[in-house]
Amino acid sequence: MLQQKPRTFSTVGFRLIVLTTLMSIASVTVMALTVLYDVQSTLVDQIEERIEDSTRFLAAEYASEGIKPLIEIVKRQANVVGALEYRLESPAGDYLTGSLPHAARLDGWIRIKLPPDNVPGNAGNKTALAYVTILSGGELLIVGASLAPIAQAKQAIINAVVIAISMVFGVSLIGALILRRLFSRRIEAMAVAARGVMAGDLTRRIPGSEARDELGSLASVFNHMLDRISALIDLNRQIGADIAHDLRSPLSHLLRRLDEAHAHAKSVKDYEAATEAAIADVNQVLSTFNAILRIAQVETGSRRSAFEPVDLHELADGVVDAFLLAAQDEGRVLTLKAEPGIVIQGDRQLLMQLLANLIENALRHTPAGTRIDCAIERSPSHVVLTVADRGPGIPAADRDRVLERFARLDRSRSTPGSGLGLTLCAAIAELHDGAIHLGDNDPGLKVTIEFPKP
Amino acid sequence: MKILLVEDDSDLAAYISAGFRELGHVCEHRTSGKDGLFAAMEAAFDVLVLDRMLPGLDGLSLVKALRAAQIRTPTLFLTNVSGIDDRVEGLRAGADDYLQKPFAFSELLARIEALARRPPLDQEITKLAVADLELDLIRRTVHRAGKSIDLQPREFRLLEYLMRHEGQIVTRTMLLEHVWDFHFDPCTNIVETHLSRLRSKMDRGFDKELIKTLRGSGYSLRASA
Repeated sequence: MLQQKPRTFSTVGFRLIVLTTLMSIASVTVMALTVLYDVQSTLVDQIEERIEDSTRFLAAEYASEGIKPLIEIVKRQANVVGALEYRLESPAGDYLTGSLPHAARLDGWIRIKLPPDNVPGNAGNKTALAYVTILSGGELLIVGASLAPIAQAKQAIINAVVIAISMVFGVSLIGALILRRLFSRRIEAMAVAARGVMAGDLTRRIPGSEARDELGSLASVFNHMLDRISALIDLNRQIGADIAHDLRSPLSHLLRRLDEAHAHAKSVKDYEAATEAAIADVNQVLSTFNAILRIAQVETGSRRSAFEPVDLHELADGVVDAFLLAAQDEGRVLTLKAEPGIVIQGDRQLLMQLLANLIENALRHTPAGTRIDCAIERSPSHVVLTVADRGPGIPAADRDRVLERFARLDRSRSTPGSGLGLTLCAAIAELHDGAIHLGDNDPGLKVTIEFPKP
Repeated sequence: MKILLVEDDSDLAAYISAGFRELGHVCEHRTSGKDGLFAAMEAAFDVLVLDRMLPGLDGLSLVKALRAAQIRTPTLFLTNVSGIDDRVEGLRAGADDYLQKPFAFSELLARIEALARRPPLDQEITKLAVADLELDLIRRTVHRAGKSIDLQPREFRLLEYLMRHEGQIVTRTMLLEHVWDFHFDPCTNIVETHLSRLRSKMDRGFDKELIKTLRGSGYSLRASA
C-alpha cells in the first residue's frame, strides 16, 4: 500500500476539534475571569457601603446620646442574623462590646483576621473588612463584615466554570465522533476508491459525489478526472489497435511480396522490381510512424520555444506555388488570396506543413478538376487561414471525427495517406493557439483555422 | 573519399561502412564522441558523419569543438525521428546537413557526395554552365545553345540546384529541402511535376536530355549521355 491509513489523532477532523475545544475553553476562561473580577468588586463595594452607612449612623448616635446607648445598639445587633460585626473599646483600649478582634487605633479601612468560629463547615481562616473610627470621646469603633460570602461567590463561579469546561470537553468529544462519521469516513471511502483505481480498476468512482458540500464537489472533480484518464487510456488503446491495423496491412503486403520474389523471381530484373516495391511498402510504414511521432511531439508543445515571426503571405505563396503544377496536371484551379503583411509568431516548418496538409487533403479527397481556394485574411479578432474545395465535402455529423487520429471516412482504408493529416493540422493549430474548424463550402469542404491576432 | 563515421549503433555503422567501402571510399568508424573528436582532429577527412546521440560526448558538442578548433570538415548529422528540433540545433552548432533515421543508403551517399564536393564558400559564382546549358545567376536568365528559356522562379531555383550539383545524384528530399524549404515529406509529387515541367522546357527541341532520372535514388544533371 502506498499510503497508511491516518491515525485518529492525526486526522484533520481531530485537529479541528482540538482547535475549537481550546478556543472554547479559552473564551469560557476569559469570561469567567471577567465575571469573577466584576462580582468581587461589586460585592466589596456593597459591603463598604454598608459599613460606611452603619459607621455614620453609630457616630451620629454617639454624638447625640453618648457611649451607653451605643453599647446597647451594638449588643442588640449581635443577635441579628446577617448583620455587620462590631467592636467598641474604651479610650484606654479596654474591650466594651462586639465580636470583632482588637485592631490598631488608626482611622480607616483595615482587614482583620477573624478567629475561627464554631459553626461546622465554616472552619479555616476568615477575613473581615472593617472600618476603624476614633470617636470624639476617645472610644474606638470598629465596624466590619466577613468576606466569606465573597469567597463563597467566587468559589461558586469557579465551580460553574469547571463544569462548563468539562461540558465543552464532552460536547467536543461527541462532535469529534460525529465529524469522524461524517467526514473522515467519507474521505476514507474516497481513499479506498482511489486505491482501487491505482490497483487497475478504472471503472471505480469516488462515492459521495452527489453530496452538495465541499467533499461532494471534490469527489465529483475527482470523478471527472478519472473519466478523462480512462478516456485517454481508451484512446491510447484505440491508437495502439489502429497502429497495429495500419501497419499490419503494409507489412503483410511486404511479406507476401518478398515471399513471392523468393519463390518465383528468376532474373535480376524480377528481384529489382520486388525490392523496389518492398522499399515502397516500408516507406509507407515509416511515414505512418513519422506522422504519429510528429503529432506526439507537436502536442507536447516543446516547439514553442523555437517560435519566430512568420510572414503568412510569403509562406502561403511558397506552399501554394509548390502544389500548383500538381493541381494543374489534374485540371484543377488552385488559388491563393492573401493579404500582405500578416505576421504571426510560429514555427515556420510546422505552419508550412499545416497548409501543405490541408491542400493535399483537398487534392486527395476531391475528384480531378475540382477547384481549391486558399486564403489568408484578417478578421476583427483573428488571422484566418482557409482552404476550401468544391468537392463532395464531409457530412456535418462526421466532421468532428475526421480530426481524430486515423479517421478515414471510407472504412476500406484504401486511399493513400496515413489518415493522420488532419490530426496533425489540428495539433499544429493548437500549438499556435489556433482553432481548426471544418465547415460547409456549399458544396465542398471549407477548413478554417483561426489564429489569435498578433 | 575519406569519411569518418561516428555512430554507436554497430549494426547501422557496419551497414554504412560496408556501403562506402564497396564504392571504393575509405570509411573510418568510431563508436564514442571522444574517439570521434580525436580522430577528426588527427587526420583530414572529406566528410564527417555524426550520430546526434553519442555516448560520452554528443554529436552537437563534438561539432562545436571541431568548429572552435577551426576544423571546417563538412559534417552531416544523423538524427532520430523523435528529434524534429535537432535540425535547427545541429545547423546552428556548425553542421552542414542532417538526415533523419531510418534512411536509405542512397540518400546518405547522395548527401555526402554533395557535401564533399561543395565549393568553398568564398568562391563567388555568377554563372553556371553544363554542356550547352547556361544559367546566369545575376540576370536570372537561362540559355540552351544560345536559345533563351523562360523559367518560373521556382523552376530557376530547381535548375540552379541541379547545376550546382552537376554530375552528382540529387535526391527527392534534397530537392524538397533546398528548393522548396519543405523539411517534411508531402505525398504529392511536387518534385516530379516540377522536374517534368522543367525538362519539357529545357529539353524540348534538343536531342540530348540533360536531366536524368535514376530509379530509386534521385536525379542527376550531366553533360554526357
